Amino acid sequence: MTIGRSFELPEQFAPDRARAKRVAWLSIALLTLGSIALLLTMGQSEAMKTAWVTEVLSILPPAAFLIATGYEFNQPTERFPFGYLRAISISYLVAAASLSLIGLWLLVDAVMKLVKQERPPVGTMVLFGHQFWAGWAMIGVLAASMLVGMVLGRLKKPLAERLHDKALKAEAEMNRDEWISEAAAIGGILLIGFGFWWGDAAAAAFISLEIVRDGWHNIRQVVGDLMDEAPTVMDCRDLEPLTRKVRESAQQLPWVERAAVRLREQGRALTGEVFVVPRAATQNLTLQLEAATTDLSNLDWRLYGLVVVPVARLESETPPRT
Amino acid sequence: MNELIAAGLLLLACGGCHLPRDGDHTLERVQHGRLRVGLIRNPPWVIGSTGDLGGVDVQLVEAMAAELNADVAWIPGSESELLTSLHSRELDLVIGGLSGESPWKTRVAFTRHYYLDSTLVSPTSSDGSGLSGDSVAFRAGDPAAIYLRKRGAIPVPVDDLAGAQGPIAAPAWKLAALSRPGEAALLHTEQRVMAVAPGENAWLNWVEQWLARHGSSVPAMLRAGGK
Repeated sequence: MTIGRSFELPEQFAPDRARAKRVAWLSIALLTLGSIALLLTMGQSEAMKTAWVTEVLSILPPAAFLIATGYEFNQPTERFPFGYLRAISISYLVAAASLSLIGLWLLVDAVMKLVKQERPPVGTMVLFGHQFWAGWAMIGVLAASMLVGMVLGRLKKPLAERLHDKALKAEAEMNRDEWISEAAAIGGILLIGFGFWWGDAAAAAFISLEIVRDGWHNIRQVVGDLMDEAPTVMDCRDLEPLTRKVRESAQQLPWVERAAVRLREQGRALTGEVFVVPRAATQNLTLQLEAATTDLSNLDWRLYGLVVVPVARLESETPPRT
Repeated sequence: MNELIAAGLLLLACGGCHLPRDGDHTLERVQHGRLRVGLIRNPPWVIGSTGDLGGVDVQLVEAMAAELNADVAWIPGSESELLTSLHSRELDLVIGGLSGESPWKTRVAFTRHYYLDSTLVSPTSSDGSGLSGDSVAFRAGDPAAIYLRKRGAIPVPVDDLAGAQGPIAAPAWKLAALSRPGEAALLHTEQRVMAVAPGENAWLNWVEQWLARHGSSVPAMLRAGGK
């Protein structure tokens, strides 16, 4: 066992990982262009303002992803002997917390506009010598960035599932929420166009609720990660059967009498301990432990730095359910 | 999803060309009806009082009303009074050389500018040193002082620019009226706009398009002193 070994993604995932990085750069580029276009056409529409904020916020996850990927596979150091795998979780916590706060602020803003019955003026704009209702430009820009959100989400989802990357998955979901928000904003602008002033603030309120929901969802997930939650199935709260699988494999070893397993998620990797009670007549315990570590680690590519600890006695094999 | 797109397209197909509409039907109401216009006294944009009205903005609104076949009800008042009423749609339009940068721009609907008002300094010093260190006269209360100070000039407030010696800072039309030399340095530009009741977007669009067609006549009106 070497303490300083860093987690390595299996060879077969290298192309997916490179692709994920390219998609992240593409996201940043397209979303930046989109937010500039939205900013230029924003006017005094609350829905446009909120859609713009969603667009800007959705730049954060790919940026966090790129920053974190620079760190997460770094060699453990004397100061950080467990490596940098949690870099992704930390960047996520920051992004998710700010997301929720901004969402709440926008929600209050939109509700205040409804309560005070602020009516949004949308005048004309001049482009290439033509003067037309600025609402059309807003709808055009919103539709274009809606398309971008859809495409990016579709690109990221399969990659996230293959790479077991919760951050990437959350990002794909955020792209989905982003284009739903933009569809809502288009609805808001059309309602303004038809003379229903409340459409704008109502659309903005809906979008900010989406932002808050998104932020809350991400916070819950990332806090679980930082609390050493057992591995969960992507995208739902069920525990993965992997812990049980490792325990059963350990128990099937001929020299093992009883075994207990404790696993946690650390970013992309799974770390933890396997406690075993060796049978009385076991020869060469050290060699057996070494072999068991290798065999058990091979059960899943995400298992990293697994430790097999011999103990005299085990009180229980699994912690209580609650 | 596909249903949503289809519904959206249908919506656009049947109503698209008539967008936007007013929340309170202002445009329909003022056509062949009464146009309630708030007047903020501000020469040369709004001059005189009821019965003897003049000014660039007043002339523009008179022409506008003629095209709408509307009777104009002129309602004089202060800026904060009139714009507050406008915000609640008690007025249809407020005029008086409003600046596009006014903090009111988020409470009422400002039109696109119909005139770019440039403040110039004339004459300029010939040594190419800019305005730095120069004493420049300005009409007391004119925000030109802010921009003069930013350029390093020393603003000198005067009550009447006509009697001022040396360089003065004033809008281009004022310089022309004082027959100051043509050589002048640009100090600042300000957008002149009108204010429309917020949310009345068909009306706002109509006014903006009308102003875009007729804005070119503003310099001539200014040369005539708004009369």
